[in-house]
Amino acid sequence: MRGRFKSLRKLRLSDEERQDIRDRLILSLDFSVRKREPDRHYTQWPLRVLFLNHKYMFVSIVVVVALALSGATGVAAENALPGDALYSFKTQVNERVRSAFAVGADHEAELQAGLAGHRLREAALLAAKGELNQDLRARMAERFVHHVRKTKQLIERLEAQGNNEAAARLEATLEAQIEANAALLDKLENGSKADVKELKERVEALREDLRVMKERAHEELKAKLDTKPQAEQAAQVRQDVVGKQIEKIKEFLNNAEASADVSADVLAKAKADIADAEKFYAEGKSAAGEGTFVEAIRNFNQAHKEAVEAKVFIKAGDSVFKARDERRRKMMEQGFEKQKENRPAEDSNSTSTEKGNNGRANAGIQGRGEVAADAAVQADVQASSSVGTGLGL
Amino acid sequence: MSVSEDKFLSYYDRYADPIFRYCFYRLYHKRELAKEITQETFLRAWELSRKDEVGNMRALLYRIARNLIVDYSRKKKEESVEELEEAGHTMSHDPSEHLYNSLEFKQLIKDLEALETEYRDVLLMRYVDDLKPREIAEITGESVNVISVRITRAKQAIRKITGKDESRFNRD
Repeated sequence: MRGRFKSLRKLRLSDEERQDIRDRLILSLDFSVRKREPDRHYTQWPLRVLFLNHKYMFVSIVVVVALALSGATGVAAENALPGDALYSFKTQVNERVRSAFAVGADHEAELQAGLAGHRLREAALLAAKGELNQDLRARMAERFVHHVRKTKQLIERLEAQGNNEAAARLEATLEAQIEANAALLDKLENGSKADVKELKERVEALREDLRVMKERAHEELKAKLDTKPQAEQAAQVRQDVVGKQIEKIKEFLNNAEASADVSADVLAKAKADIADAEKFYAEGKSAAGEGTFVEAIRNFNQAHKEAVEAKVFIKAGDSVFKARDERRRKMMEQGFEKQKENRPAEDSNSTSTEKGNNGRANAGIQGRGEVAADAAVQADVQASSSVGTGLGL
Repeated sequence: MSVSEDKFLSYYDRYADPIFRYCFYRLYHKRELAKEITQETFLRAWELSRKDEVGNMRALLYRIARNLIVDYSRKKKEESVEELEEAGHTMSHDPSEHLYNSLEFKQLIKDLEALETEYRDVLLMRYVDDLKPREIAEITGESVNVISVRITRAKQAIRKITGKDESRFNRD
């Protein structure tokens, strides 16, 4: 009888379908676990019902779109981090609304690449605040992988449709998002290696995948652009687009520098990226001049990636470094507060003649306070340093 | 002790296809619907497993899927494969399209559709889902004896329907 039913057993979910359901499940497991945490107030359950069920998804999107686009909640949610009450609004409403309005595989891929970057940036912000615990790291890694996988699927779809130009552009964007945000984590100099092992492994595996994907795309492009006029035209288009983009990002960088809001660290990294972008752009032009158009396209794509990386780093960097500095400041203050708590007893016993001595003594205490605070910061730096080094990003 | 997330995801990896198949053949071959019920099955199993210890996750998943399908079927009027295809709900643009188009598959579906629901259900559970009579009993809430008898009768019934193909059924 088993043999008779053999063909029915061949029915399976496709890899994409299986992964899609798995990703949704992961999001839901996340909600379910978080709901039980006493210090957090999540509202994901109703959102889950609305958005995970295809039947209600469209209606839900229409209903919340006005809220998300015009409401203060949507705006406030944009800066929410995992663990914040508005974080579910950000991921389940704001991002899904954007996704619903992304028309075509290239727009959707661009959005997904951006979201992959967002997840790494959130991880960096949490690390800077000292709140990137094991549970959150695992979840951030899952979400990051989810968005990268989606982007890659869409890029592959574009390639299958013969839209190699858009596919190459999006590969560069995805890579830039990963590199820029990974560099952020690097610069934080925090965390322990074991703490970030999972995130590091995920990021590294995806980077390797991306390298393979890029090589394959390059070979396919080579095969596709087998005639000189075709290749020349494609290189020309890429040169124009990337040239304009570099100029725009340079302007963005200049404005950021003029506003004096951006730290020297961030500016230095962004400037180095722009310099690299210009170098690759010049190499691309030179290759085009020599008639090696596919090579030229490769250089223009690399230039595009470096330029986008600079922009992403400027946009994300400051918030992360400010969070880190704020945390250090708080730790310093806590160091002083602890010392102050030990002081009243000494002060109450002191006479006016002793005040001078106490002043000196207090100075000594304060000195020890600073030492304690410095030690705390040192510990913090050591603790946080492995997020960067551990990630090896 | 409740199930950890990793453990639960490993259950998903192991049982996603069988549960999907279970749903698909009982939901008049609507792939998207079968996917939705599969997803909901795992979500409910996760919620249950957070509250109580689960002895047999496989049986729990089937039981949830079965209940969800029963609920759905109560609400929706049944449609046959032919009706679905006429209404444009054919399984085209589907990764398993080649499978649906095979003559053997079509014939089997037709044979199964001619069976009483109870018989069809136990045959699918026993020979497609590869469940033991004890597990089928656990899922359906019947005794093992009842299930064994039902399987025997279901086999006789399908032999009667297929008639000339009987030789193939005697190899069990």
